[in-house]
Amino acid sequence: MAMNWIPWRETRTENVSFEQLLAPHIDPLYRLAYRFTGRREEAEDLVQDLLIRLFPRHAELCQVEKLRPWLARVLYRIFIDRRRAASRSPIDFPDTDPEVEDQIDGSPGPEHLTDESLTRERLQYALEELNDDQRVLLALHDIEGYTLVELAEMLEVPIGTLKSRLNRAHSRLRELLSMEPFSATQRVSN
Amino acid sequence: MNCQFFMLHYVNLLDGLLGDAERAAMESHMATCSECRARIETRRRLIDALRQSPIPPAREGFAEAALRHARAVHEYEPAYIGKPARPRIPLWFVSGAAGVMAGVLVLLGTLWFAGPAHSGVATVDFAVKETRSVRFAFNSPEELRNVTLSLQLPANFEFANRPGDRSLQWRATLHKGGNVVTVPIMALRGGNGDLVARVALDHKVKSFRVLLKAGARSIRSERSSSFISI
Repeated sequence: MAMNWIPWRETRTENVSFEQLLAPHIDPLYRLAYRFTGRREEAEDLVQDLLIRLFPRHAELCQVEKLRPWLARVLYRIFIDRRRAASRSPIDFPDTDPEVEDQIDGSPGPEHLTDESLTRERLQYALEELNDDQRVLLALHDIEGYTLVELAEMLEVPIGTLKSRLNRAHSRLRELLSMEPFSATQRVSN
Repeated sequence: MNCQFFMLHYVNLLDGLLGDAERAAMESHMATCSECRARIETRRRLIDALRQSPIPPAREGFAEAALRHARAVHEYEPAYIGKPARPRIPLWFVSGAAGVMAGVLVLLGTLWFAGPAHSGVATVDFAVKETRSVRFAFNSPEELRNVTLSLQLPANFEFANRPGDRSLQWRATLHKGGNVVTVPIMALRGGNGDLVARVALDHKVKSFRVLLKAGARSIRSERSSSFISI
């Protein structure tokens, strides 16, 4: 089926078909879904589920000013709903005071990343070991480039909570990649 | 500016969210503190590694197939339980319309739990790897709440929008009259088997069987559908 690619910044009307509207976003959505799930089949299924849900909302989609983050948000919601249904338990961390969270964070001080520690296999393993919230946040913030302000609106989570969650994700990632730690005590005393 | 303050706010620095004065203060601290400077560098290297980590490509043709399938699922009626919003074929027409549509039309009877077991088996033909949207129509004599509906596929089929799944079960309210459920089904391999549809209310269960046949039939578009009235 031939696709007529339409830049998403142009004015869209309902004369644009569902396929024309969504086609430019399929690959980025799949890549984001893979970042969420870590599995190709599950990522494809997630994107397929999104498209099936969005098809009846074609008119609404034509009115969305920034479709990319809008689609990312819906994809995220579907992913979370699936995981909650599968686990039958909420996966959000309880809200904590972000200031306190950082103070009690026992993460090591400056670490040294080596090429060895950042190999594809080790990085993939480390990502899979993160929980869903952490992996999603890394995907959206670090990889996709959304700021915490944008993510707070997208995910409907306070900025402070997101900042804490992101710091924890990075700390966990560094642990999993077997960084050479410096203790917080040493850092402060130095 | 101390290291603890820097560590609390360096994410804002990376996000470009700081004002000029705050950014200058952070950068000034970085210039004099090797550990904080190293932390930023570590973070940036990690982000670069994450962005460069490879992603296996989706299956060939995935985008087109996914968009086509999304349309196919909603082509006739959306997958819901309830009165069809815009019925293409009134249910009263179903019984006499076998062969008119591209799919298979079979009237198995009204949903009387106390009624006789149906006779005859509906059949839906697939080509191997073909996906067809199959519509099940439940004609209920009255509104029925908290009905449990289930569909069980034979081993060589799966629900096309739920790879690997061969069974579905959900609760619904059946409206008086016609109720339509549409499910996309894919034939994975050749062979025949029964799709079992069950409707359960309290302790009563009514079962219906549909013979699914996957064989040498030529592949049609994914927009093909079969309509089965139960």
